[in-house]
Amino acid sequence: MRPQDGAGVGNRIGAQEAADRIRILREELGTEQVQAVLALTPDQRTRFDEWSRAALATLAQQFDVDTTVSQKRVSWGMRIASTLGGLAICAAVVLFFMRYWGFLSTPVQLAIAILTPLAALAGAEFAARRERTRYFTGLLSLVAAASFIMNLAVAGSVFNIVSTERALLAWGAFAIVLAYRYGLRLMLMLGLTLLMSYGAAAYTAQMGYEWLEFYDRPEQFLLLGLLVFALPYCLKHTRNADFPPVYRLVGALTVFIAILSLAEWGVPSYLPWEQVTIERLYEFGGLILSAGAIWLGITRGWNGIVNTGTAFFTIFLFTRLYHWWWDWMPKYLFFAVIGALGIALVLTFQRLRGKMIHGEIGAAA
Amino acid sequence: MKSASLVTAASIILVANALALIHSARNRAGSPEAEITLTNRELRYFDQSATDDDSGVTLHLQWTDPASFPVRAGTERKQSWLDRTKLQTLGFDCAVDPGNSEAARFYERQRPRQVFAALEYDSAAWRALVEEFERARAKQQADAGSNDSTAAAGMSRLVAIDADLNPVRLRARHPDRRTVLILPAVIAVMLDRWPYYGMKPESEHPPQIAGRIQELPSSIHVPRPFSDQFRRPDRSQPKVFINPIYSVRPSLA
Repeated sequence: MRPQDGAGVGNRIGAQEAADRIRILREELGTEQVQAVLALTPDQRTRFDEWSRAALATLAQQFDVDTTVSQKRVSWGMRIASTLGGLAICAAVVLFFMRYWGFLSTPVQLAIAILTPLAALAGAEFAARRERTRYFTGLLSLVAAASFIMNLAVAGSVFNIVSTERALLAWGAFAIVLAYRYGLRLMLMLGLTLLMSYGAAAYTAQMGYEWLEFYDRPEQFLLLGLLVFALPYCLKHTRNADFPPVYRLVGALTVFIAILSLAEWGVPSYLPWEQVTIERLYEFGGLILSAGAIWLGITRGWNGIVNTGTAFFTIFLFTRLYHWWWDWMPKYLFFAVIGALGIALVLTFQRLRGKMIHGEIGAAA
Repeated sequence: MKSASLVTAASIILVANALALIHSARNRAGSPEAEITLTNRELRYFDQSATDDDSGVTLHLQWTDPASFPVRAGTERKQSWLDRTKLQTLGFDCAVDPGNSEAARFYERQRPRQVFAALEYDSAAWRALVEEFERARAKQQADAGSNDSTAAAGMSRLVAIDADLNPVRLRARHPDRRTVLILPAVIAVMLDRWPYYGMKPESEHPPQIAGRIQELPSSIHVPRPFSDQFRRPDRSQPKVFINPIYSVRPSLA
């Protein structure tokens, strides 16, 4: 790869991955162990150093990627700060409007409510054209989404319109469009959550119930979560390569939280059976599904799904054990058994990991 | 087109607002569905300007549900108009007998339904409730018990009298647009174990299937210049509303 080949990476995620690989290669070539088996001549070493420095500089210039570990840490700090800052500005905009809107005439109220998200959208576009890291773009997009939510809430309030689930569709669509335009994962999560809520609310209203009760039957979210999980199979993300994990994470979290609420929190179900039967069904369903998620995550290399599956497998397992043993077992023994099970799980995962390492070594040989 | 998604985002904002404005304009076009003059007993203003950051003025619709009228606790139970037959016409499944051991869970599992409710203002239904209250008060006073004599006086005279899935059909049954409001409502079904929920069934007071109005669109935004009247310092409300402090004539579409 020539230094100017950074342009061939395509997007910022690919550029960051390329920069990480070059940085690690530079560090490894400097260690004694590698030098013992791969001794570069001074001329080769000089040419490699010049090439790697130039390649990193090109990537940094073209995509504003982090080329050192310290830069990566600072970037994480900036991401957290921009998200928190965005949320704070959202709260400030909404509270400021509420504080003074009563003193304004209806046309002025409405004009401000409509212009605020449009102005925030214009600000996000302005920022996106001037930065590649998307910190300010993300912040202003969050403000635009919050302002749009406030906008429709104000319009509904000013004209005394009976609340409708269709607002969720408008907010979700807006968040999704912003997510794809600026490559913002947080907006994608927000948009998917709003659209799933709309799907559940529309179905609830269609059935003749109040739409605000859409969370009352979590089975709706089971289907919607599975749909969102499967969407990356149909949608190709060449530009936003980091979006499929977001779809999978949102889908998996939705499914697992729905199952957990049905299994443990006594939430009503569509199934016409006894409450205890339904709870047992979802408890074991949750255990099997979370184990399946771990397997799927390992085979596909989806870290987020492995972690989510592991977390929910642990929750489902421990809650089942709690129901079985808590009442009749001495408390110290219960926790001792839980501890022993935890150790057994670690040993199982260790063995699984060992098998994977041996498999990879065998394949390499 | 490079800016197609930007145009789409802006369009979503504009189209959503346009739809809200069109909806509002259609609501306001033509003659109002109902026009009733209500007082502060029916439309309450909770002035929180000193503590609240919300400068808007909102009136909250208060209504009286005959099923939960306070006098009920001191009198014999009366079957509400929102009975088993009415609930069935509203789409609720009332197949399980209220005496059945599974009845409580069966009715708990049913979700509230979106219907239309008729609320009558200062009508025979209201007067009957007041008379019933007065009788109960007199009886309680005779039994040397004290009672709040102003409880009914402060209550809303807007009484829920009927419900239907179809607002046109409901209006046909209650055609007086100056006394009857037709509003979207959320009605829930429950197993009524008189006199309070959770009590064991008795042969003298068997449980009944009952409905209750869970929600009505109760917030009414007051625009300027009308809202300025509510911000006057002398607008503080007494605890009990015997004489009207203000009257409002909302036009309902």
